[in-house]
Amino acid sequence: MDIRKVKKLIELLEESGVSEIEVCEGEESVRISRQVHTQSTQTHVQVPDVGAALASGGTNPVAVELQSEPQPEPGHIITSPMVGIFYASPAPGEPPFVSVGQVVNKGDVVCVLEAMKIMNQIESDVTGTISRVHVSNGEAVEYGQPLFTITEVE
Amino acid sequence: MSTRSDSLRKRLIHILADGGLYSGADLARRLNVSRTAIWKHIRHMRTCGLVIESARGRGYQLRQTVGLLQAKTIRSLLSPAVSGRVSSLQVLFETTSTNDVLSENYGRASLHGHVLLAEYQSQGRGRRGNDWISPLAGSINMSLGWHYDMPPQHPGCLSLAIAVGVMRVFGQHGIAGAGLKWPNDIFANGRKLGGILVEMRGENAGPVDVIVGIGININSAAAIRLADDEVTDIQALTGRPPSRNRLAASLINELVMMLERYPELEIGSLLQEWRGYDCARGRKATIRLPDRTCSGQVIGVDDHGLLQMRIDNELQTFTSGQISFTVQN
Repeated sequence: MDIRKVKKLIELLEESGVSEIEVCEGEESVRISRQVHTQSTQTHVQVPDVGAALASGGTNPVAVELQSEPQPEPGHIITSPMVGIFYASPAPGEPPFVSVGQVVNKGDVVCVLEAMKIMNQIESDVTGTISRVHVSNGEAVEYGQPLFTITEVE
Repeated sequence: MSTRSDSLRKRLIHILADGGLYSGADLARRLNVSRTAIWKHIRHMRTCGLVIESARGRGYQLRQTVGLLQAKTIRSLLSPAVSGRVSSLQVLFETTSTNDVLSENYGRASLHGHVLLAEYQSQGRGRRGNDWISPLAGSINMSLGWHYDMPPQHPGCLSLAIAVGVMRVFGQHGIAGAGLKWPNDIFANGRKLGGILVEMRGENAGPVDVIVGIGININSAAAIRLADDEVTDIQALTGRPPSRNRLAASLINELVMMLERYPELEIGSLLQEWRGYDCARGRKATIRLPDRTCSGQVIGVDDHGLLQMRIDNELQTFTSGQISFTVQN
């Protein structure tokens, strides 16, 4: 298999948020999987039949580790259950419930959404690390809009 | 938490409640404490908004007669159906905020049916950190806890439903002249009479806990200063204060059934009833949002319970924001 094809597959994987893909071409097959760690994304490439494709030598199978940008980050997305205003903190002037890099447990409050003077404390439905906050304090949000991305703890 | 001081202050109010003039020495003897202690307790209750007049060398007198809230009395006034749905009913003398205490005292799903009242809240809250001021023994401060296994279909309209429930109770007690300002502020003659703060907590599409907090000024308006609004109280509307115990019981009777039936409630007829109490419709008002402030005319609530305003000749719909009436001729 062409190394460019492998590279292309890695890019595809990164863009998609899918954690593993396997491609078979005749007798050759490539499986690319990635494990998501807290901050960075590591991509493991395993090429079972190297042939001429990986002329750099090395043993068979070869594992290649690539460090890539953390974005776009796969993970669990908490979406807005309602139309309303997003508040990051319990009250003005107070620190936010959560920020990027913070570990949250299932059931922890991550934000308040206000609609019709109902203060809705939104809980995380997973345990993991906040990898992205998609909205800013005081912003109007729509139903289903992503609020947080959480990298789940395995 | 009921401390020794709370119980002494309650007894002090009980003695003063008839409106008579009592000397410090007399009160000290009756309560078996020093005159200095009496003076300290009187001073504390004054800082909590209770108006106690003192005449030098003669004694202390309440400006208004005060009947304290009694959990037992309120309980006895509940309908059998509601009484069976109220897991606990407690009156605190002094607390931080009944919403906060209810949420701290009971964990997930276990706050269902608990009712908490307080004579005085030191950290009463309104929307987004606004203070809610409730002078000692001059208002009704109450929180109800409720749990839904599945979130109700129109969670936002619960805010309006509670307000409708309060207006129904006012009707039962002959309290006329009050109306609603979207979504659930209670106003009379353009002045604030009460407020409702609904807090929900839950996962997306999962079980949800609701705390309904209600504050109603009974005879305390003189002791309240708000940044945005003029204040009024029930006494100003009716000429005399109602029995707070009766009013509290009626509120619990109405609101517990409202919470119970809410998931099956027909939203259209609820909104129609709400519109009947709308005291902002047609008025010039300003709406304050986190990122901007707009002025225009209040049109009313739409079929989802959202606020409609005409701003710069354009109909706009709002899900949140704080309206204040513009004082204009």
